[in-house]
Amino acid sequence: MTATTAARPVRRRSSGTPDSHGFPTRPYDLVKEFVVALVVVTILTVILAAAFSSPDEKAMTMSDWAAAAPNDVVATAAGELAGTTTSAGYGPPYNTAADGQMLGPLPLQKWGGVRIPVDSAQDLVVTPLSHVTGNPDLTAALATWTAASADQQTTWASAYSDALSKAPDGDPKQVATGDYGPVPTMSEAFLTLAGSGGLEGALSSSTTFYASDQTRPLLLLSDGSYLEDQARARHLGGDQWGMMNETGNYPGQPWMWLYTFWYQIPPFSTSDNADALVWGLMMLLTLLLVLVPFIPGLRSIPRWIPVHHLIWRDWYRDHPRRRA
Amino acid sequence: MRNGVVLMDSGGRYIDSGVIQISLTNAIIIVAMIVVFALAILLPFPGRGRRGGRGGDS
Repeated sequence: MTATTAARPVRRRSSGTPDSHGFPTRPYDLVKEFVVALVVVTILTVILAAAFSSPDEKAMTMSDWAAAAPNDVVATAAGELAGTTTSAGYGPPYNTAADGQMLGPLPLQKWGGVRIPVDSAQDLVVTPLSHVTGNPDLTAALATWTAASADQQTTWASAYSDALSKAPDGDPKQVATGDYGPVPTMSEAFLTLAGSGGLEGALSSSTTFYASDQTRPLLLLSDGSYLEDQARARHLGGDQWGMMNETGNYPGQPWMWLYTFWYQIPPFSTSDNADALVWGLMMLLTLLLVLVPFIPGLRSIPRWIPVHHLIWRDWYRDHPRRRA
Repeated sequence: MRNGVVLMDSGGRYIDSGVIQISLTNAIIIVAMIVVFALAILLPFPGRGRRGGRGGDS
């Protein structure tokens, strides 16, 4: 694909705008440039991949969680039963506990609807525990839990959750005596189930035939503090410009700099609606970018910063009258 | 976190200065992109010399 060379006088329309067909052209082989660029990028990709490999973080399992932070597992289970975890109060698409992210008066998250219903206590704790066999204490605890009223369940679980938060290091063995019903037994059994490696299957196999839906395991993990601690240790936190980062020293997504920048400064960094606000702001900025040719001032920037004079410097050197 | 230093830990090397926190790798890539952009503008167009002057092709 080439353009031909032709030295024609530049014609001007009556409006004073030069006729684009009047400018000289040069031969240029776009196919050749594409092939050269493809070959260079392919060679660079192979060399860099061979030299640096790629990020390969070990997948986090419930068993890892139970081994590394057993008290966090117990606290999370108690929190799920009490309905105080993030997922329990998240709102759509999991439940109706909150309206979620709003853009001014517009309840964007609520408009999405509850498309993946999750009852945190039942789906993330009670149902997986109900698959455990050979534990009479757990069977009795589950029977007691199921027979109790919702208010009684909340009272037991909230009391135990509060007691855990006051215990040294959140250690279940050092919790003050109290009326916690079957919650301690259930929480301890939950820790044992997580440590055995059986929790992943119990959480994921109950949703799809191929057990490939990781929604519930991920919700449970994110309700604890272990996942966030691991993410923050790798600079992946929202207030660490994490959207831009990859684990270790691998390059991340630097083109996300503007999107993640807003999360670092007020009012976004202190707002519960940061996701909706940042999205709205980026949509506004994108609209401004699209409309640049029509916005006085913005559309004049090329005249103030004439980069095109550098690119076409030979032309402007030979045609000094055309300088802005 | 300290300001204006390269943080080195198991999570990688990071430049931390005020509200800015960027991995050294990302910073190098951004600088490289700017350098490539500047070179693309400033270097002469390939093949210009073969056509014997800038005549009507520029």
